[in-house]
Amino acid sequence: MFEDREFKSDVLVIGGGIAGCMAAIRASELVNDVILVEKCNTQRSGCATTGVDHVWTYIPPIHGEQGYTLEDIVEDHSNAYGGFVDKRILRIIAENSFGRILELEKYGIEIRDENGDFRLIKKIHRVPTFLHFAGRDLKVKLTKEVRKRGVKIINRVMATELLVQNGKVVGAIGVGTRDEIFYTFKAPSVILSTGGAYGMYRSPTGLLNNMAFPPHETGDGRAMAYRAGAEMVGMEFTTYQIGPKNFQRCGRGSYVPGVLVNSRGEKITGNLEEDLGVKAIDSSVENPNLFFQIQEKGSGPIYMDCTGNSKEEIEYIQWALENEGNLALLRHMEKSGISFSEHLIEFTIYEPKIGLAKAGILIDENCRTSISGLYAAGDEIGNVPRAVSPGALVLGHRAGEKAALFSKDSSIGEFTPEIENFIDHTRSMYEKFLSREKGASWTEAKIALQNIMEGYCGRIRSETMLEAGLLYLRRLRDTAVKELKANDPHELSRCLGVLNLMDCGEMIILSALTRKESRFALEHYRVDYPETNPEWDCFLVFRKEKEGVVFEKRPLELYRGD
Amino acid sequence: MPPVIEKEICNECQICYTICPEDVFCVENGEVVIGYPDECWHCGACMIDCPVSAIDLYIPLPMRLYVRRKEEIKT
Ligand SMILES: Cc1cc2nc3c(=O)[nH]c(=O)nc-3n(C[C@H](O)[C@H](O)[C@H](O)COP(=O)(O)OP(=O)(O)OC[C@H]3O[C@@H](n4cnc5c(N)ncnc54)[C@H](O)[C@@H]3O)c2cc1C
Ligand code: SF4
Ligand code: SF4
Repeated sequence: MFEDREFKSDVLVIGGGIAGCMAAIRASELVNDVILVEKCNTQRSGCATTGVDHVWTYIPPIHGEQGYTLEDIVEDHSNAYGGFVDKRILRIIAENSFGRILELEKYGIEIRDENGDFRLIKKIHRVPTFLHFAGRDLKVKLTKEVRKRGVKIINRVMATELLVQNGKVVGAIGVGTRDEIFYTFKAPSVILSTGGAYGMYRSPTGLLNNMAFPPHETGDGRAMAYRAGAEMVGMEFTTYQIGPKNFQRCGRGSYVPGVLVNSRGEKITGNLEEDLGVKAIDSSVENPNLFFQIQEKGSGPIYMDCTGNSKEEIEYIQWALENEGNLALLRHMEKSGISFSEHLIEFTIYEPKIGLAKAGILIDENCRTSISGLYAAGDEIGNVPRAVSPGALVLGHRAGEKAALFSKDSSIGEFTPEIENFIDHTRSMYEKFLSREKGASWTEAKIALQNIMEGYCGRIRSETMLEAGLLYLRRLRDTAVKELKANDPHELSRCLGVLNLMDCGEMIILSALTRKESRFALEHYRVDYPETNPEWDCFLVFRKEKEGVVFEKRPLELYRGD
Repeated sequence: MPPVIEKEICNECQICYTICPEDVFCVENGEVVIGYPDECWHCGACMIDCPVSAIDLYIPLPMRLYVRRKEEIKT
């Protein structure tokens, strides 16, 4: 049986990653009571658990000097993602990321090198805009700052549903991941910052949690927002990532200045340039489709080759990798006698995912969702691809500010009977999971979901397969609700995570069915509509209504702000 | 399965249990144990934060890197 706990605050932040911590920091400067609920522990949670090592930014004295304007970075970034970018928000990120980085420096994060210079490398923009820094303990330091400001952090609580009455958010509910506690949060404004939706597709190694992105991020924010009726965007675009084969970790950016080569040792990156003393990677390797193309040409596998690099360069790669959460990978290499100077490391393409601010909740320039009082920031959102850490820093801070200002002018009374009923109903569903004598495990449910996503909504999509997949997925979800069994609160949070992933899967399939064209190579390939069609140069926005899911094509021009 | 705690060194401070993002550790009778070995994400947080370096990660066979020496590549 659950123990009940209730909390009231001016602002409720759900998810204490980079964006959530920044939101809590900013909100606490404007209102008294800020609560941050976190599924894990904010010190080491989210994508930045053991570090991020680069952040793209516009530094006026450096980039301005090179004749590169703020508008240039907005253009470059937008072009890299085929124009499917909300430029109004992108501009805000570009304008403010350097300011946020300087704040991180004040929080004790080592941003510059030993000479006081910025380490800048070139990636997807025309000039070097990627700032490398020592970010291994970013989350530990951010947590300190959050605490210093009197924010109440509640760790090991998974938020599970938003409470919306009369079109306005009034709080959320959640469960303890270690204790049988049912939480009710009341707040006039809520910020969603729960990161991405990972684990809908199987890791190619067959190991459940061997993923480049955090397995504890199960699309909770997206699923909660979807169920609450918020507008979502771009869920048809499942993105891919490349990295070391088998040991699935992020950190492609850290291998600069290593090069990718094919099985004959021929470079496949091309266009290496010398910039500020550091070599750059051609953005073509950002297109993971290249991996399939090379294999199809018969010249795979593909390797990361650092054997031509100097000792200093290899030390730099190791430094960057350690700061980007790759300590375990480096230890494995050391113990197995693998060295960058002697070995080529096979790279591959990982399973598809939803995250990194492409495909998610639709927000406006003030981080507002379509539900009054509900804000979203960071990887949670869908209209600024690759906003990544600069997006989380800037939009997190901004969401904190806007939500706090909103709360200053609003209050909430008692919950309506409808909300009370919804809470009771949800609570008893969770209790059933915990009390069932026997039933299905969350791992079974996850594998079943992966089978459907891979089989019916993978690299090759078609109307008939997507329709079948949707039918099977909805049945699976119904069965899972009836049969899932959790042996303890840990497993309960896993069960609820899988159900959220199923809702994300439903959003992907529905969006993929609706977008009748192919776009962005692997991200959305419809074998029955193999061409990119200019009629579909638009965001695909949708929301759940009583009668079903309503889709709308929104012209990209609406999001240009010029 | 990962992680592995060297019990002779561990001082039972429970930091690993406090911070692990995947909630892999459990505490049983005051002692930290590996409750959910299959759920490790290999993020390395426990290795970094353990004050006495008592934690090592076992890397399962399917996760081990595929590598080749330069001379094993036909150019
Ligand atoms: C290993 C790795 C390295 C990376 N390196 C870089 C880099 O160098 N540069 C870069 O720009 N980007 C990098 N990225 C991406 C970057 O880290 C993310 O874009 C960024 O952290 C997003 O911030 P966020 O706050 O939106 O999400 P996260 O930082 O991922 O945080 C989301 C938080 O929400 C919590 N949460 C989830 N669901 C719930 C729930 N239901 N209830 C309560 N809490 C919940 C999670 O536990 C987590 O703490 C990297 C990603 C990974 C995985
Ligand atoms: S490596 Fe990460 S996920 Fe695995 S036990 Fe350690 S802290 Fe937990
Ligand atoms: S952090 Fe290290 S010393 Fe502390 S309980 Fe864990 S293994 Fe033991």
